[in-house]
Amino acid sequence: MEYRQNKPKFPLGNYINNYQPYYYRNRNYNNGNNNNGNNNYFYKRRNNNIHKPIIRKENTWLYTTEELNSSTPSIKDGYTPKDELKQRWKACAFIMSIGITMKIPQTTIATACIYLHRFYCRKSLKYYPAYEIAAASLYLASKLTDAQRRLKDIIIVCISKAQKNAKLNINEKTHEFDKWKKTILYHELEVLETICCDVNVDHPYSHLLNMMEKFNDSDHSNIVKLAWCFINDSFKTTMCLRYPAQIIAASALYMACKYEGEVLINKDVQVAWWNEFNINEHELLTATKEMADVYVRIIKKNNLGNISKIPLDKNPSVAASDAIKRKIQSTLLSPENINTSITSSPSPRNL
Amino acid sequence: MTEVINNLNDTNTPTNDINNDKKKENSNKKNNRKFVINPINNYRKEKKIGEGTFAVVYEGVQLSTGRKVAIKKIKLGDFKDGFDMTAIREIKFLQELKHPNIIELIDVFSNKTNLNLVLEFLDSDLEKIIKAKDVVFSVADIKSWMLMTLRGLYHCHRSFILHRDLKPNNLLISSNGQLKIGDFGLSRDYGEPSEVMTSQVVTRWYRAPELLFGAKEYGYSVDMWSVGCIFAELMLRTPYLPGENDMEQLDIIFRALGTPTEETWPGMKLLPVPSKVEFSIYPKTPWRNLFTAAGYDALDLLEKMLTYNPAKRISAQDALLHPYFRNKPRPTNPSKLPHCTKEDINNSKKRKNLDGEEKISKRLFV
Repeated sequence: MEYRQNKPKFPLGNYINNYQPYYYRNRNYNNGNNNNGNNNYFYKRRNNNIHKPIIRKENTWLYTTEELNSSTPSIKDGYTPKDELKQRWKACAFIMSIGITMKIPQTTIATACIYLHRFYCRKSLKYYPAYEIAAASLYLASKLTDAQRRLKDIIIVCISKAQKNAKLNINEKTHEFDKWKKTILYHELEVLETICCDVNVDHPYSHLLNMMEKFNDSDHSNIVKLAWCFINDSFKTTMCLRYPAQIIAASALYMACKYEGEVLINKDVQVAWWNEFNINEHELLTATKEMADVYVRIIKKNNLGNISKIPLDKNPSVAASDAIKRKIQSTLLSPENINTSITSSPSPRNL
Repeated sequence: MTEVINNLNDTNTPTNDINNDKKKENSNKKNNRKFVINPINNYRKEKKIGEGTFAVVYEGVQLSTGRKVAIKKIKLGDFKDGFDMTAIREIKFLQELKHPNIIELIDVFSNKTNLNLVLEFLDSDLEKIIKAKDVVFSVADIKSWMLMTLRGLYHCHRSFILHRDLKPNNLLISSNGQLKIGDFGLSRDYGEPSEVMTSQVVTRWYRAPELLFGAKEYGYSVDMWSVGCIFAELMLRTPYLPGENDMEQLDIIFRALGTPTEETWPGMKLLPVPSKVEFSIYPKTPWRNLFTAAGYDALDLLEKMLTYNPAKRISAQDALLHPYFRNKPRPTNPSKLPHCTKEDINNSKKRKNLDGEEKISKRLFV
């Protein structure tokens, strides 16, 4: 077709190459200049007297682990850090399950998850139940990323997912439907305000595709698929609040390479691939360890014997999740193995 | 007393993981820190300028600087789908686009149940200037406006954003003559391959032929067609291709530019409308008699912008590099461009009414 001629191959990747992404331009992430506090405009609202919002690194939306463990509004309201993480996890899993049944694109789902994580850095779980915010942020994200679904459809899926009953017959005139509609419409504005209208998000997916462009010489589609799934799962944790998107993409890629036992080498440049993209080795390794921890925890919880029952079916790409299962079964992911392999200093040529 | 200083909270946060160097920077910053006034109290609405279905626009003042601003209050209420899409798009794209030829989003704040966008205050637009018959403008002035439009549009396109609603009404003009692209309510991110988009965009007179043919996949060339129509309108001082419905619009385009064939536009027959409808064949109307004052280079650029085949239509970047902008006369300095005064607007309004009456009377007689 004629119209495709103008389309870039990896549009988001090119965007980053040619053009400084919004994230770096306005937040001044690296040089840390004060940006006149432009983003402060929103947080004076309902709970102003109860919680002071945390502002970190000149509003990059990045926080340290200690902060997330000690000073989020939910924790000040009496939640334990573990509880909060669990609630966040549940809410993101809820978003993903709705997204998959409604065939919403993965970037939209990821955007919704990021909105949700950012929201709970400024508002408490006590006043804003997780599932309601999850539904609202998904609806908002679907509008903002041109994947809009009808509110009616989203509500119906929400109810059936929340009650865990797929065959539920839902009528528009029921009280339940009305309640969900009101909460979604109310919380939509609440989410938009709390995230300071900062709706443009930097996604790891684009960074991943951008990185893989450098290794065009051979077929790495299995690695990309696997890394893509690791990124999907990382959104259930608070990783997106602690690491820039590029680091998440790199650690997913690192882990995928490890599992597949493949080596990424660019023949023109004689350095490790993460040095090519100016990624801090230490940061990469800590992020990777954390990403792997999720799976390790699942294995521990389910006892290593029952590996086939691990709930890893939440990934959209069936093939890749199968790959993970297969690799787990071959015990590559046993806790000892991961720790030793990742913490040992990586030699540039072998990884 | 009502001014609340929000930024104070910032000083309380721990800075454990920041290196010594950064600490030094931070201490410097603390001395230079600007305090942010609570935006709800920072703006004062003065008078209503306009009202649409989803928003009311007020003229206002930014109290901290005394700057004149436009405040767009988004109505929230009984809408079925919650928050209005056009407002949400405007926030999304204007936050990303910062350019002298694109309208600036200064601030966003909420007030109970309303969301307010604070935009740059721009008093006139290109449509007003075109319609004000008392204002005379030269070839150099047209060149200057085209240059500013293309610069703004090129910035949108290199940020992977389609505007999709370019028309003289949306090209706003500031008090110092700078032209700024506004109204991003129909814009969208462009770039994901094989993505289906709606063809019901762009005001009809400025809509590209592939959209009228019902194409679901299109690109930056859609905006370039609109720019071409605006260019012709600037030279003629009336809309170049005014159609009253979609089929009439196609007819008018074909009468003016000739009917496209499979040779001039390969793949045309695959689109939804031409595969079903046979069009009557017209030759191209020669432009020389129509655009009497235009130079050779201007007509060359116009022809490249109004090319049927979207793949061959000129891009914003190439248009900026076209010799038209380098040849004499040089584009006028924006501060010296003809400006539309309020009297002119009033006069043109009167004239508009007269025109309308004339039209009605003509129709009655015919």
